[in-house]
Amino acid sequence: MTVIFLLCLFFLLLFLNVPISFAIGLSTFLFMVTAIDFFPAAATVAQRMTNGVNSFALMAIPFFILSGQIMAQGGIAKRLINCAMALLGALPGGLALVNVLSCTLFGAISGSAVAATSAIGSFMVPQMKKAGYSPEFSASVTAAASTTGLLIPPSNILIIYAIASGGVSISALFLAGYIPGLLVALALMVFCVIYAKRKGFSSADRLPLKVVFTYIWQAIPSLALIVIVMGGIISGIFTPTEAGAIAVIYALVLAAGVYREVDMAKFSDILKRTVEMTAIVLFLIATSSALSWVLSYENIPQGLSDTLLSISENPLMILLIINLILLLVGAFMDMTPAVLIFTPIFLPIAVSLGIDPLQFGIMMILNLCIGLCTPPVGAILFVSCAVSKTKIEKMVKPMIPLYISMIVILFLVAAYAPISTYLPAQFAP
Amino acid sequence: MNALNKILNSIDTVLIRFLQVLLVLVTVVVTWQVFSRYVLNAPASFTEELARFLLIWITLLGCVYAYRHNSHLGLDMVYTQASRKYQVLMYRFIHFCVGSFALCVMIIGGFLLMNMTEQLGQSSPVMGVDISLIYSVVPISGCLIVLYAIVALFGPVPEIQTEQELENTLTEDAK
Repeated sequence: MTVIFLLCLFFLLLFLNVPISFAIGLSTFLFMVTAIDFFPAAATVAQRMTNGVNSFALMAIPFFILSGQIMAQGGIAKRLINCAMALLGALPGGLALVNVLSCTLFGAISGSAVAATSAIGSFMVPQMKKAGYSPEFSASVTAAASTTGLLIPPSNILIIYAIASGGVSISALFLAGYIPGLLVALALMVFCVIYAKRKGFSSADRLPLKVVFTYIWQAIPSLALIVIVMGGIISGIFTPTEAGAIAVIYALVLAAGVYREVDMAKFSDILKRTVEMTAIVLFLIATSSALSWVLSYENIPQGLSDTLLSISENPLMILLIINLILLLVGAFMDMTPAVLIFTPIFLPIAVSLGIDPLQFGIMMILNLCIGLCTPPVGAILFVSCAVSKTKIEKMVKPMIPLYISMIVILFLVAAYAPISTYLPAQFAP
Repeated sequence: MNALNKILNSIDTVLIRFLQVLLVLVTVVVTWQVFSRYVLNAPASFTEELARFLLIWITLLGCVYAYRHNSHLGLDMVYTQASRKYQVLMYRFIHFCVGSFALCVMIIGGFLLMNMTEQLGQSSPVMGVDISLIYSVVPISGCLIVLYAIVALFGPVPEIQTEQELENTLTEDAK
């Protein structure tokens, strides 16, 4: 019963605009004070928080943020867009396809969906507007396509899931994200082609073959980052965290040494931003791990699992219920706390029904990706709205077919395990 | 007020310089871990421990920096719709919450945690550093947050960013 108090308090603080990390920490602490005394509660929460971030695996997060920032500031966005233009520009609905592919590539390299939305969107949306696409449609495509970068490795949210699950291998999870991530991108592209054909948008002008090769050639050093990071992880040369450090060094050499777009002042700025972004995510992890410790101390996961299993024993039915809950959670909550809080609750249920933790993780992230594009709390939706100079209300309608495309893939991932488990079974170190 | 702002700004500058150094240091440490294993054939043992401790410091001190710059994630849909009067109330309440969390958990809880580890005489297995020294960052960042919270509690309430300003910062970001 007292858990209801914890939840109400948390939501009250959340709606009053108290930062999520502090809302989680404060409600956890007040709840602990009612259960044990003031001093032990204070010490326990402080200890759980520091323990939560005392992890070498988490170290990968600042590294991937830093390498992504260096790449973003180092002129990689325009090279990727040029490359995508060379590959897809001549197809029907060319610009929309280029947008999807650039967001996917950029998201995969930078590991940040918001960065992909603002970097690619601010360049592609004006171009699409010139070609006659409505800004709402362009903004929606950018938003949906940017989420694929969260599934395609390296991805920080996958690392967070791996840690919250307590034992899933990060390397295997990285491999599991490839096919679902690319499927989402493909589904969005199919939709764009249909949309363009129906509305009569022509393709972009075909580029001369020489230019095509130049564009692809120029993007290769940036794309090589993925090969180095993932190649190193899969072959067991280094751990994901070490891969992150190598990615930082590589990105720095490329952006400062080869492209010459990052100098000392810019680098200092990049470090500042990275520190800030890292601290926001990791402090969330710190307070969320205190909360999830309290929840398991109170046997909440067990209780919820019993309730859910009493409704149905059919795995698909349970997965459906979990997905519906997560869609609702995703609409109101940011991805990181959602993963940290709900993984320890739902994963044991899924495992007891014989669902692979890899498949469950990918399903959960994909589900929450949809939440990132839905109001009222949808970071990506707001950013793509702002870079496209349009209003949230106008985006609801063009988003609907994109939600449907993502939900179709979500359904496939939930119903058919090999989509996420095939690659790790073949290649995981 | 002006003198106070000057002090706060210099704390901020020192803090961010220190954090930048920590971030570069941790990158070097983990790169060294790979280098020592493959090139020197003598894997360094201290690197993993040092990286973990640095991460705790970056997280908590970075949290102070992010709080000072108002960049922690929040749900602002009620806040932005509220009238100015309620916004002022909410603003004070938010900083009261953050400040009391920092006081109770980070300062008091942090000190208790340091005491506990000191009495147990815990030191890190590889480097032999006192764990309570590592934990000292908890009350330190707690104090800084309380300081900023008090300033926000009694200082002026900023107007919220308009959509136009938000757009400008975002387009700047993209560049």
